[in-house]
Amino acid sequence: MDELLIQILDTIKDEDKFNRLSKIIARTLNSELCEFYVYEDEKKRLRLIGTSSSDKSEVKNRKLKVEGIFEELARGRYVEYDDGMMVPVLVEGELVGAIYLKDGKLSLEILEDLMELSDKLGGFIKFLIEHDMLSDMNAKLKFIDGMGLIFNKLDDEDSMLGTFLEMVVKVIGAEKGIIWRREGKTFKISHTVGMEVGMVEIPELDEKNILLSSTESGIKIWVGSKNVKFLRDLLKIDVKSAMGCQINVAGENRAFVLLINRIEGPHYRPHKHFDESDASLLMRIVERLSLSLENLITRRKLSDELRKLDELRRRYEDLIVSQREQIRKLSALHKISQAMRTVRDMNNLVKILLLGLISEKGLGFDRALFLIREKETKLLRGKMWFSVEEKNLRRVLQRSFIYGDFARYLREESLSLELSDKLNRKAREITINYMGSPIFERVVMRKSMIHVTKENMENMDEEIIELARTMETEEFVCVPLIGNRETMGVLVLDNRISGRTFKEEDLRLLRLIGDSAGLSIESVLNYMEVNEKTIILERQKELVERLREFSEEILNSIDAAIIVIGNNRRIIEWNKKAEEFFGKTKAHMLGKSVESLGEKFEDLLKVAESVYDARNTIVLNDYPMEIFGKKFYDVKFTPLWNRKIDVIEGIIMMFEDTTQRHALEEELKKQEKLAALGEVTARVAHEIRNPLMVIGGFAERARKKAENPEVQEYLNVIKEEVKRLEGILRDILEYSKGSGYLEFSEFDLNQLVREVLTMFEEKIIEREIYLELDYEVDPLVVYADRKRIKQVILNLVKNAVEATSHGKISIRTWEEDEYSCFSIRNEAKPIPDDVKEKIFMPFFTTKVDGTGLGLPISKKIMEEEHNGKIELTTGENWNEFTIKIPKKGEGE
Amino acid sequence: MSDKKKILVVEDEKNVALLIKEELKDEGYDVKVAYSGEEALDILKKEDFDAITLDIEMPGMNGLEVAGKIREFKKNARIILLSAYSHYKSDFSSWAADAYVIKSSDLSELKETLKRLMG
Repeated sequence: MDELLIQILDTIKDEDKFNRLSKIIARTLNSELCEFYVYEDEKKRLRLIGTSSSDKSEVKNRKLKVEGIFEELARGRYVEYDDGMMVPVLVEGELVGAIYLKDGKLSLEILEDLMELSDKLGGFIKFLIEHDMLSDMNAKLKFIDGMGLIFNKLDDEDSMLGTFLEMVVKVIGAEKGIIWRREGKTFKISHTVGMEVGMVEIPELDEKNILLSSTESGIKIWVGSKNVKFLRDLLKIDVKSAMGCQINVAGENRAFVLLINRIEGPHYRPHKHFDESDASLLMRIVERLSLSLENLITRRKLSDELRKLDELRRRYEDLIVSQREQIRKLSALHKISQAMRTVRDMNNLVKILLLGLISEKGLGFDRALFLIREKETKLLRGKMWFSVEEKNLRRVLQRSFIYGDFARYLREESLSLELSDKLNRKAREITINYMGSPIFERVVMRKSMIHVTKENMENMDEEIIELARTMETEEFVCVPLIGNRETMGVLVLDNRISGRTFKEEDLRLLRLIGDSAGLSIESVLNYMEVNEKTIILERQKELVERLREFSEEILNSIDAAIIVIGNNRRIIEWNKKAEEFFGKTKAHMLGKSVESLGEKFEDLLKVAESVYDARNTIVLNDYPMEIFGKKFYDVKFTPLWNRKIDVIEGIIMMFEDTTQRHALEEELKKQEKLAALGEVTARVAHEIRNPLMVIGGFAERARKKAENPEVQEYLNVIKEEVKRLEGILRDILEYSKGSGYLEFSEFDLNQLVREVLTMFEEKIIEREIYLELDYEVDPLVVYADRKRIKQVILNLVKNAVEATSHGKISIRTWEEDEYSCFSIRNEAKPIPDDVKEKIFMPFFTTKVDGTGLGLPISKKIMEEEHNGKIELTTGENWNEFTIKIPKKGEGE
Repeated sequence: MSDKKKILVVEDEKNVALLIKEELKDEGYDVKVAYSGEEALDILKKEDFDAITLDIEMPGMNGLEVAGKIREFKKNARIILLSAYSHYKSDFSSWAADAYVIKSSDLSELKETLKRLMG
């Protein structure tokens, strides 16, 4: 018996424990068949859970039909059958199961053993049954725990629900499973398991459907034909039992799951249909799912928010970049306007404008065409056209970085800018009759800016399309240049080369430049007009009016004698200078006849008469007159017009004293002659020097060799005389050639530096050198030999450029005490001290090429020729050469 | 082999060359004359000298040019420029020479300069 118990205890780990248990009992008691039953109190029935036979259906059906056997068994009595007996298994007086033994010839002894066994086994068997149920439940719970991990790996609701349904059907053991998903007010089928697609038509559910509303408070189980009838009607399939549950996420009902018909598993369960333990299982799984879904939704919301934030940030950054660019362009625009304001020449003004528009440091458009408006002919006429592709322009455009100030760059570069023939010939061929084109009329007359694009081209008129064709472009902007009242011209801009389109900001800027350029053009035109008028004024009629307006003082302050003769040949004006020049007072001369001027004026009066015929100004230059000594005058005869009747009313004679100028010119001529003479003298003297040297040299040699003291004395005389001649020659030569070649003059040192830098432009770009310029005083006028100083600066810049690559060169000019200074510093390994000492000595060079004379020559020029300084200082990673030029009056 | 210092006199005028040659011989130098810059360069390619005197004003290649050429292949040659003018002193090209002496019937400056350079 004990042995049997040990064997039974062994089965606890066995999956098939109840069958084994039956087999063990059958073998021990020598029984043909042993069956093992569990008593289900609720349904008052015994259920077979183990048998020693391989075929169990036959016996099961037979035993359970016997009436009243539960009562007998519950009382602890065995029940006899035809072919065997049923022995109860009781625990504390309660029936938990029964063991059936098939054997007609069971002895009482065996029966007693069996009863004893069942008594001993009771608690153990109950434990076994519960253990089995628990271990099944345990496995399921473990599975559920792992489920969270699986859900979390899925990143969409749909696949989560699908996975959930498949797992829940498998774990709980259902035949079929359905999930409806909420879409607004209805629930639509989203997933099914165990149902053949197309075979059954599962309906959508309204949110008020009884199936849903009955599960609002949790899980609902439907068992029994009465209860499942509505499901059969709804789904049109055979339903034995069902279990339904709402899937809520964050308090919101998102889906509904329905499991249909329980399937038997390998483990013992007291119920055939869905029961409370299934419900609690489902509940736990649904809770997991809800949690994961909630996670998913939160995660998605979060990443959504992040993406939105990111986008916002990006948009914000773009905005800042474009704002910054806009500010830069606005300041460039200001600089362009500033540069335009300083010029008085139409050509220059347009060059500045166009250069500013296409320069990268300016507004950076690809091409800019200027059309001037001719009011009389109602034409827009092409004047100038700039393109970044143009060879000449490219060099000029690159130079913009040498300048610190963009306005100055525009001003200076536009002066020397040469225009490309090709583009400007093309530009000059463009003429547009703006009154014949509605669009151009709008631009010119109504001062509207037009943005022509590929898209709106078809709405344009012939003139616009023609212009697009000429320019070979598809998008451009026509900007009216607006003066005080009228349009002065039109700018046409495009980005044909880069293909960039015009943005709203571009158009805003162009509107601004249109106003500013228009005003500048107008002011230049006005200036030109005034200028022209002034010239006419001086030459012709208006002088009369001005003359009349002139007060005595103004007339007298003129540094020329003015005599005006009326038509009656009488003197009507005589100014202070005239009194001075001709020694006669105004009071004395006014109203006198011209004859009273005397015979010295005879020829001049004849010329004055001829002005009536010439009707124009006549000028005599350097006319000699002897009044107080011999003097020279420029004499100008100007007709005095009466504007109203277009008649000459008199002649203005203007005498300008040119005696001094005349003398200077004469002096200059004399100097030139002298210089030529000096040249000849120098040549002759030079030719004489060699023979003299030979004569003197050999005289000395002869003297040394002569024995006769008298001959020695004679030769000494020759030698002495030759020496004297040589002295005279030296003086002549030094005088005619001057001492050295230095030519001192006043010049702008900064301008010189710029000139030198221009020569190194390509090298600077090629070596990627960043140039920093600081002209502290600008212009910085120095007094020195320009050529020599240029030689020095050229030398220093050359050295710095050759010693630098990808580095910075800083150039500075300034004034200190009695010097004007220039320094150049380059980033490089500092020159060691021993080299520093020798660097100014001739033929000392560390470079492979080069003579080693550059710095010595510079030193000589600075120190010996200019009485200035040249210094080398070094720092941690730089070398700096400084030159100091004494200010005028300090050096000599 | 004599231990006399060798000097090459480059001078186009025969009499001047003769004077310098005689005077330097008296000083104990071994003197050779070239009558043009071209000739001087030919000689220098074959022979070494302790010093070279160069007249600046010569037909053909002038002294300054010759000095430059000599420097191309004899970086350490001692070169003395001779000229009637003092103003070449301020010409940069004269910097290729080691010394500059103004021509005079009194040759003491030239002699002293030679001594100084070779001493």
